[in-house]
Amino acid sequence: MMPLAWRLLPLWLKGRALPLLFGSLLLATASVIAINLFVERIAATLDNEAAQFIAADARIDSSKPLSEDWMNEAQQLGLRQAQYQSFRAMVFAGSEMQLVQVKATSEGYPLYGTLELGFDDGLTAETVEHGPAPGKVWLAPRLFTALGIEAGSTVKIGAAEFIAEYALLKEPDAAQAAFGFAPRAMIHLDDVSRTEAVQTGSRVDYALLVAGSDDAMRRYRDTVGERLGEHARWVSPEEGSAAFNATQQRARRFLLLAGSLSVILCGVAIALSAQRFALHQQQRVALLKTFGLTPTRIQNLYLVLLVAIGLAGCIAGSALGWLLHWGLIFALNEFLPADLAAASSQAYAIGWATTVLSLFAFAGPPILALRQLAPAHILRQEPHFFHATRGSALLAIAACAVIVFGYSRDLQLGATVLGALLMCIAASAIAGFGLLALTRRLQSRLFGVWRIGLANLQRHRAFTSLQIFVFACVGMLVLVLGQLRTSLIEEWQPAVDGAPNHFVFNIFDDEKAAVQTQLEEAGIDASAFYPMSRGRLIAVNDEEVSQRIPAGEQRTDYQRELNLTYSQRLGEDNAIIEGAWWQGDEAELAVSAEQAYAEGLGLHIGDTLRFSIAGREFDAVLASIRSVEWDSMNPNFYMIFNQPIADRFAMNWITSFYLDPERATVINELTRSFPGLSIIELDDTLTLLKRVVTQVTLAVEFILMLVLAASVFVLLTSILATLDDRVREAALLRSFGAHQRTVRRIAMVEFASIGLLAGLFACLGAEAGLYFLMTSLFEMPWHVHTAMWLTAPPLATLGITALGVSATQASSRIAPMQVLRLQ
Amino acid sequence: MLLKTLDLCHDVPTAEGTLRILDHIDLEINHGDSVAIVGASGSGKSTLLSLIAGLDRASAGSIQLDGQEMSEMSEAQRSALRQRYVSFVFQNFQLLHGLNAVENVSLPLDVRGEKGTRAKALHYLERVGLAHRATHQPSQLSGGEQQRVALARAFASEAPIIFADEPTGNLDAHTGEHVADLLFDLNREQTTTLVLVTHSDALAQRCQRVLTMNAGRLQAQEPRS
Repeated sequence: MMPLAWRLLPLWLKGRALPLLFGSLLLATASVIAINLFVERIAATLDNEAAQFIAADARIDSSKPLSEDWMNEAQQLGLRQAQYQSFRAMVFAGSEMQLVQVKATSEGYPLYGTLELGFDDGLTAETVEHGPAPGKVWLAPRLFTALGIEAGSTVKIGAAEFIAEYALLKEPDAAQAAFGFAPRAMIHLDDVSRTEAVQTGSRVDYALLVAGSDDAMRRYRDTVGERLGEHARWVSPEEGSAAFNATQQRARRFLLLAGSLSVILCGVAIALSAQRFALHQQQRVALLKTFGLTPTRIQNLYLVLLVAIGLAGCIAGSALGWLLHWGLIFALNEFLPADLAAASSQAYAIGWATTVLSLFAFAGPPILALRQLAPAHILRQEPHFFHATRGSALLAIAACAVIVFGYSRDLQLGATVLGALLMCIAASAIAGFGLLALTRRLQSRLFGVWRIGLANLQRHRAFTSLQIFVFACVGMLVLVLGQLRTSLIEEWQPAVDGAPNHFVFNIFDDEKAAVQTQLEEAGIDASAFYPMSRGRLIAVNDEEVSQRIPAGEQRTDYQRELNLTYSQRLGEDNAIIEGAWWQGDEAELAVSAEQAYAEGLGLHIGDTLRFSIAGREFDAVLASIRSVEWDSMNPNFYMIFNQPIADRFAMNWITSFYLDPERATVINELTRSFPGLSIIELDDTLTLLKRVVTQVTLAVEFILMLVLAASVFVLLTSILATLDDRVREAALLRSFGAHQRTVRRIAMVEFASIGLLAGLFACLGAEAGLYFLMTSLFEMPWHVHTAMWLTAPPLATLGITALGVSATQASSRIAPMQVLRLQ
Repeated sequence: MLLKTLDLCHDVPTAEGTLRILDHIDLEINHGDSVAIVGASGSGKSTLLSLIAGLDRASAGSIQLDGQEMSEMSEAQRSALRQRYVSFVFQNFQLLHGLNAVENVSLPLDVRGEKGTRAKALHYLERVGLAHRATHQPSQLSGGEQQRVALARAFASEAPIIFADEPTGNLDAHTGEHVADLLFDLNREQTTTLVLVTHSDALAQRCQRVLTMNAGRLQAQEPRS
């Protein structure tokens, strides 16, 4: 078989069909590899950076002392580890005292990130990668003012004396500190016993930090993370920052969606170019059959070709994909960290699998169907056939499903994309034939090039419908991606530009007005003030929460203290998913729950929820379930009540605002005026978020370029698929005396009609796809995209006409006899 | 008896219903015969040729090639039969562009997996007077030369029976005559059986028998005048 295949190689390489097929395959492989390499490296880098949010690769939080087994297992796996304990205690300096949240850290803390230390004036002195030494305490800056001390003073925590060495300006996992905590005092873990602050019954939070290779971390999670018991929970970096995680998840989803769509586009191009290649092979195959080549040998011959194309596609696609991803990294150089994480070989494996799948699902059916060609084809000029059997169509749809699901590993995303594609197929098939029937009526009232052009559409109506469908799908995919990109960026940009970077909490009721005034005088636009208290949900309809936690879920996720608030107004970054927001006149206490939390516990509207705040219990009826945009950086809550609960239990207030880093003195003034306030700075989180948004925005634009390149391939292959017929028809028309210009105008009428119909269907499919994607997957508001409807159909008409006329221009130049003699 | 048909019928589906192309054809061709099939366009000549050459499957009736019943054979079995027994000459030459003359001639031999195919191909090219054009592409050859390469290809496979579909139909009278001379000379030399479809009376008259087709029926089997 190989010598014969080698002998036939020059025949296969003749013409544009095989290069186009190979080009489409190369583009599919290269784009898959480039996108995967890029996404994988960026994701790994972001994971590394996200690890700073918890100062480790993972953390185990426990309300009981850490198990020796956890530490031994970590040691055996070669993981780095550190631990800390957190508890409340009083700090004394002379006659002054303050309630503080003590964090006692071991050697090795933090495993990632740094701590910023300053003197009592709040100015940064140094950045360190360790906690305080035994006998030393690092205090929140405002404690120096509140206690009337300076650096080097002696303070007492419980029964032990410490030297107040530094002001603790920043700790890497500070954003993790739950609101409501008293100001920080950091000491060494060995000093805990000296303080005698931890007694039997004291509430102490224990944390074990671990870091190591991906493989070791995976094994540690499998062995330890899965059997922590109900008093401990596993915290990964993604869980460490809801805002960061939400943005990254959206970005990753978008990139994978774009990747899978570009592969489907390439798949269409592959199928069309394979079709054309198969048509060109018919006479040759028929001739080979007259020589006695059996159908099986024909099939094997073309299998050799497909395998060779596949191998070449994998090799060249890997090289091109690698170059493209480096091009992207080079282009984004200033936004990427210098030490970008390495990619695994998985990206290449995915690319190769996609190549093989695309080749056999899209190119295989028409090419391998050559085995069925009757040898008698050689004696008669049979009409060209398009091999679109039910089997091959199902194979192509199945391949699309595998690609989309395989990429996204997301049933909802995959179903949405496939649903939109199927809708586009149905709309094109039904409306294509319907509108073509309309053009038939129009045709009888027209004359000249219009009449001939529309007649041509009628004559090839099966292929015209196919072309309209292909163009509509291409248009739909490009429009969906383009619109989604615009919406995502519009959604992200305000969230990042001027997003709050400071949270102020522990504002007592009588301080609220004064704090508000001071912030306003400083020209700071503080968001709304929210009343806040911390409490637990303990029962649902008299059933204990612990009984409702689904298997496999972390118990502490549901049994931990929650931030509770009340509000009459629904925040802009919240949306009601189920139930209704209150009217304001409800007598009973009602509550609105966050969507993921409610779904985790299987909460339903009308359920009675029992809460406990500081040991006191009360009931509220679940009135609504809300989605929350955690990446908005505004104060958000798992539970919002319709009435103040502060009159029953102590509540204080929280607010957030953006403060230019150069105006840090405003914070010092605020803490001087209100020593009891707690302030969290989120500059690091925000900087990282900004970087993610910038990276993703540029990556999305790059991927859109790849998708556009794939689209041009599809359009070209589709137009070239009819080139042979066009050359013949043009020759015939010119033999009747038609001018070259007339032939071109007829082509213009055809392509303009196809372009207009395709543009309209593309808008229809895109609008439907966008509705599902935005509302269900990206959790963004949907609106009719009027600008798209107004611009896409005319642009499609112009673009397809220009591309079609230029691609077929040569057909009107060939001397008619040259063409007709060959028939 | 090399080739025999009995009650051979062939139908094709059309929008108006089934159309009978061949209607109860009985035919016998012996080893070494030269037979011309003539008739008006649409009379069924080419369909008859494609069926008896094993290129297509008949709707009904029997076709026996060297005693082997073809009508029940699968495509793979008919391929094997074609490889062993049949060669073709086509009106439009059917040379593969991209292969030169000698490669075109050796292609059927390569399909059979024969050794020394180039030498054999060159021998037959020499026999048709085109050894000096062995490395030329089809596009560099005239119509007559292309058909001579096609003849070399047909005879190089040394099949017992050669089917020719309008072998001179695309050539001028003078070139056509030269090609016909070569065809009959080689046929005689190699004692092959020749079945040709033609509109040319002159060419038909050079065959031992002339079969006339009319509306799917075999009208007459005239011996050579």
